[in-house]
Amino acid sequence: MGRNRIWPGGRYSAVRWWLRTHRIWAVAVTQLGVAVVCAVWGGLEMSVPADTPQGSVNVALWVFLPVVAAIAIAIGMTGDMASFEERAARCLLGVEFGYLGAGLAVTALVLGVAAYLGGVGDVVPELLRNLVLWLGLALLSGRILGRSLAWVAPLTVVVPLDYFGYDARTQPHGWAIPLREFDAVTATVAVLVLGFGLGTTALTRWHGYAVRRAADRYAPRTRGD
Amino acid sequence: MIRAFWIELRRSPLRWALPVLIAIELGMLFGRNTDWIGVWPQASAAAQVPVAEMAILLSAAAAWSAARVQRADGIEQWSAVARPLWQREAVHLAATVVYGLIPLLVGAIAAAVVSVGTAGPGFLWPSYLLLGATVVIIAAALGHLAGRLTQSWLVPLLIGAGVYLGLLWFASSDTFSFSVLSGAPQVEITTPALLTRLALAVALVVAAVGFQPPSRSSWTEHRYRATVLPSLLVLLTIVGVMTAGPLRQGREPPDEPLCSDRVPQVCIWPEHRRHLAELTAIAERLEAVAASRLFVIPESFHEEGLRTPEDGATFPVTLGLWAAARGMAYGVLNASFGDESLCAPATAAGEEQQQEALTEMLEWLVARAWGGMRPADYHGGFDYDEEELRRVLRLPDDEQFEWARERITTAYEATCGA
Repeated sequence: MGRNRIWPGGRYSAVRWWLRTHRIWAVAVTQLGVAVVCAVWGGLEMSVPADTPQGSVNVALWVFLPVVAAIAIAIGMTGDMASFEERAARCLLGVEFGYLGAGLAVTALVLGVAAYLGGVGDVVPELLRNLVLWLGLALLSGRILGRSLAWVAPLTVVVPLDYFGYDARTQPHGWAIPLREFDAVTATVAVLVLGFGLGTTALTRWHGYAVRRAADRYAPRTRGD
Repeated sequence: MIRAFWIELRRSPLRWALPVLIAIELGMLFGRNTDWIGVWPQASAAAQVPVAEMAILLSAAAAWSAARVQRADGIEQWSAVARPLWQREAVHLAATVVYGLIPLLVGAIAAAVVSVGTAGPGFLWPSYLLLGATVVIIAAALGHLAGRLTQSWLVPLLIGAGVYLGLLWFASSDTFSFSVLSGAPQVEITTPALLTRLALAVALVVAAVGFQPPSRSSWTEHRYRATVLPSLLVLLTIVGVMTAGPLRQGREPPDEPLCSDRVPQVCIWPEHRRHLAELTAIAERLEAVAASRLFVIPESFHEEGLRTPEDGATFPVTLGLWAAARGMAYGVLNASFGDESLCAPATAAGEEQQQEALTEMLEWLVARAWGGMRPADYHGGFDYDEEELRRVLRLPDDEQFEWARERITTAYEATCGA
């Protein structure tokens, strides 16, 4: 009953309330748009300026799509009541992580199907790995700069990545993880980045206060008292 | 108003983006192939290249900045300000545009400073810098407009990605591209193309500044004018850009190209002055092959665009000096065995044999002209035995010429019979 007093109508209506104030329908529309672009033009190669002898490199459009999709998921974490949500009740964190998991799963499914329909089905592993990687970075950006600014870090990174990510033979450098073929190493890096993003998201402002309070309690007193 | 502008400049969130934008500009300018240094049109185009890459951040940040009134719940206060709305928005957008232009300016100054020592007479071409400035204004105006149109948090993401992918998408189009990757002296931006693009940028600024938010009033005549007229203007200028023809066209060759005073003579576009000494050395190394009495060395080598193919072979400089050496070696082969001196091969096997012999000889000539093997930067599409070529190049000249004579004999025997 205690929970019902905070969330009138029970747990599921809390989820509905959360989805509404976070305008998740807009995120869903964005993902559908990204999926349509992927299905229609996913394999389209575009000449992107790059640090190669030719001064450019052909990059397929699908490479950019997980960036947009991942940032959209992360921006869904901001809402009309963002400053209240910073108070960080534990059950709210549950709703948020439920949203992230469901958002990631649904987006992965839709993007994967769209890539398959668009004739780029062979890059689905890379597409999904990059979705995971960019989501981690977007969450990290949102944690540091504020959730509605989750786009800053990924959009800042993606352009230099494409520019400097290829060597003279237009093969991706080792560090350019999102441009490399799918393998265990790049997948692990992607999962670690997402884990880091989720971890920092779970550490709310309250944890900062708690740490500071604990430090105050145990720190040797140098003045006062 | 000027004071308001300074306040906008100081308060703009883009001040945080400025170091990143400058880093992108300079990183991309000097972080890749620096063949542009010392060639004015190339340096101008190189300073412009990063602008399309900055557009993603610039338009996203412009959208974020433009949405500040809604974000801070300041609609009431904002609607009570004495100044007309469009003036306030214009000052706001101007600050955003200035933050976009500063990196371009920094890049242009840097490109000029490193080029001025070697480039000779001339200066940066304003057309390429204006093209870059146009893209800055378009990206900022689109972002500003998007930020004012809706209150969604997704707007910076969508407009940033949209502008960036749009620029990439159109870059391959002849008539609707807004950026160039390099600035060969053989081509120039046409005035109609540049002016129509500037007009489109101005139309987008008018739309971004004139837009009336829906919350303000009903569908009044004023709002009608502020929405419909800019939209028409934007449509009109888009049609203008599409009908203005290609972004660039070929230039008339100079009356007096820059020529070396040695034999064989090397003639290039004056803008490529920096490369003349190296190209002259390549021509002289080719001349040394004449001692074999196997090849006809042309009296002069001309860069692409200086004469038509009917007047003789040309070589490219814009693809790097090795490619230039290759083009000149090709000119030697053409002068020696062009058109009639070789018979047309009768069989497929004969043609293959002839091609192989000629390819080996071309690569040998290129290596002689360049003074070494192909640089690692060039790759793909060269099908020959590199180890064999290395072995031949280590032989004394006499034996190399004998090796070349065997290739020529093979080429003849494959087609005309022994």
